[in-house]
Amino acid sequence: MNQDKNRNKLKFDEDMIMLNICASSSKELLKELSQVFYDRGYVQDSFKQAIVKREEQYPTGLKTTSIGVAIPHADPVHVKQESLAVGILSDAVIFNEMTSSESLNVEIIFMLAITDSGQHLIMLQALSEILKDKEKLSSIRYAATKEEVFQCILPYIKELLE
Amino acid sequence: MKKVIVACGGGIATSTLIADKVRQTLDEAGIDYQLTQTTLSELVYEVSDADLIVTSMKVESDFGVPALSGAGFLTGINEKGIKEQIISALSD
Repeated sequence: MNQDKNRNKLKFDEDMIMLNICASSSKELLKELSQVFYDRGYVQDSFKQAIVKREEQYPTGLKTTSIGVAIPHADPVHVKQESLAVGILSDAVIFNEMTSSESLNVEIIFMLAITDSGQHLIMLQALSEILKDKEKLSSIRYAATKEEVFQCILPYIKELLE
Repeated sequence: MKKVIVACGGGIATSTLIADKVRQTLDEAGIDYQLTQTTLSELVYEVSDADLIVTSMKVESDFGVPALSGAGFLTGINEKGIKEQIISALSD
């Protein structure tokens, strides 16, 4: 019971942030960022494939008022622990946009490993607050250190962290 | 009573946020509704008596029911416009 409770608590720290990612395709990028979850034991080994497949079927690129963002995620069956990873690209990678499926240059990735708790609503609300904030997105995109990225995001998700 | 269906790829993440915003919009407008959250692949089974579909992405099939994209609720782009479209689609 206790373990179940912790499973739904969000894990996010500086080790879940990747800066200056060089990827030639969205697929390569998704695999690289999924690995971060796997290395920490937060997801099943099926997570990586599930993320890639889901992105093909249901793209998660989002046009914001400034920087292109993607929020890849997979079905909770592939997830052991609620967690978030953030990837910042050195050069934009093309994703498909969620609504139109058109190509979209993406520079920031928020990858979500969500369990089937009600908590993901709060997490998405927090993310959506970041997506709506042009300056915050810019601070995240051009941050020099992981610490800076972490401090930008922390206020939005503080209540979800263990 | 208006029947509204909110759907996204997995029926888990994006549609939860969109559903929350749709509920807020309809509560504020005083519209009586029943909201169902589902996946895009299950949508076909739910759609028959619906009054409005709100999805995260473009729906390819024409179900003969008004359909809107709610992705702007995540990004803030045209959020007000989407709210107005939802209300107008459900106003007789």
